[in-house]
Amino acid sequence: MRGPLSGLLLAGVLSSCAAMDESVRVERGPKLREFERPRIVEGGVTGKISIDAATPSKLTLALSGYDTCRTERVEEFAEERIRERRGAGAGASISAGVLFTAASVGALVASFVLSKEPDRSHIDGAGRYGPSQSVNARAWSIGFVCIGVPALAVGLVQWLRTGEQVETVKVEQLAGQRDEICNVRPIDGPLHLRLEDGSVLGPMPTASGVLSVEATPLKAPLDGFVFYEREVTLDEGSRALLIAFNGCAKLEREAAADASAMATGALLKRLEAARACRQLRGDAVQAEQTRLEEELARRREGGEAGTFLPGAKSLKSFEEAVQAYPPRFTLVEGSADLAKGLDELTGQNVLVRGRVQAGLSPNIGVVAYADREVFVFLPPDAPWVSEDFPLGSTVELVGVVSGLQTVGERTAPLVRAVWMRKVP
Amino acid sequence: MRVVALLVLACACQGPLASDAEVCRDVVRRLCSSRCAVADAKLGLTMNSDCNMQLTTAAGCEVDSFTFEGAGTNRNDFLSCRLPIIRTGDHIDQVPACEDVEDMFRGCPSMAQFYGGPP
Repeated sequence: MRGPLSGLLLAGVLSSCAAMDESVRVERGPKLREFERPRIVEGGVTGKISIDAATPSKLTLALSGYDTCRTERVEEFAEERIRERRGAGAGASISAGVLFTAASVGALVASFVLSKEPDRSHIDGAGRYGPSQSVNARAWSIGFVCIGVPALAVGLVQWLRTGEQVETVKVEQLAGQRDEICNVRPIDGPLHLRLEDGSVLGPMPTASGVLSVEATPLKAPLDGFVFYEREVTLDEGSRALLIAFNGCAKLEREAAADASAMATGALLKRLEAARACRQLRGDAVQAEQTRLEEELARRREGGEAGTFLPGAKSLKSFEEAVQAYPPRFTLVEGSADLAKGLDELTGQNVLVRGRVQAGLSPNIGVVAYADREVFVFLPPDAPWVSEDFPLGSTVELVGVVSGLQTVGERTAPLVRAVWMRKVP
Repeated sequence: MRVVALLVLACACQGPLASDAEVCRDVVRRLCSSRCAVADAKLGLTMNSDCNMQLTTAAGCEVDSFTFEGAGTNRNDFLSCRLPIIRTGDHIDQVPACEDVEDMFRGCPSMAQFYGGPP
């Protein structure tokens, strides 16, 4: 029993020693068939915006979830995988194996012929004679067989394993795919509003897949919607409505009493907002749009802002300005006119006396009086503008109130100055 | 079983046991071929002594029936004492070095008495 087991073990060891060069070659065969395979993959979230004409400052977003139904066009081919094995040293191993095994057999045969008489010329440390020639021959035989048989076995194993194995398999190749939106259903969940200034509002819960957004609390234009960190995709019509909604919100949020007091950049942005808003409010913003377009046309023809009130350019002094534009209201601390509302002041000549509080732009400054403030528009070409009006200095001016104006984050009545001077 | 197989392999390159008389005479041959001063002094040999005859006779191994047991010694002990003088080789004609001869007598003083040396 031990003999065959030892033989198997030896064969296993020898086989593992028989290193083989192996290469795999793939050959594409003919196309077997072509078919379509439907799959459902991850979809997304879409939103449809609607705005009721009666309530243009309220936006309604209907949220829908969908899957992507993908149809893959698959081509199936037959493919042959040819595995080639080559034993590089098989020939040399077999040669050496045969040679050494033959030598071993020869030595073994010789051992029966040679003398069995011990070598009496030697007596070793254990008191024994040297081995006979027969024993020596057998020892050589064993040595040769130990080299020859493994070499022969390795060579034979390599030779037997040399060859090629062909495996034919079916392989699929994706020839194309078509994606379609499917399984559309309303979804509910926390929705975030992303504004153009980078801030995010929310989460806001939807009801039956619908969310209503009021324009009033929005401090910046609405840029998009985020549902569970995924962008809500808007269709073309919804994007257009969103732009119109943002335009109307801007017009409401930023007052602009006097277009001539606005910087050209701000004027263009407001005009853009008015044009966008017209989609929702129609004629309601027509007047504003026309006003802005006229101002823009005037600037294109006559240059940057800085138009003078009628006759203002020819004035030579503050006193002349007071005579030309006699103030109807006096806006100074302690004046009874402080109680007047904006509606009463708008379009009227006023005298303002207060302290320079800030400069918002090269042409607009803030003058504070009592607990109030006004924006003062300074015509750039006016002769008195060259005078320095440092912050904190007391000034008085005569001008015309244009209405409420927004500059950046601040909103205040705008006074178009006819003349302004420092008061000692 | 494995030990037996190893022993068989180890013994395969060895011959049969040499007789006690041959081992005894092998030592005599080596001592007489070297004729080291130390050996001569230990064994009481002179220039004119027939070394082989004297030592073989003194040990009693001139006959093939000689045995170490019969001579009052032990074969294994004798072989151990013999080891230094076969360092240069175990051929029967090998001449040992005098240091090895001296080494043998230093390790086994009884060898001098065995070969008839003066007490």
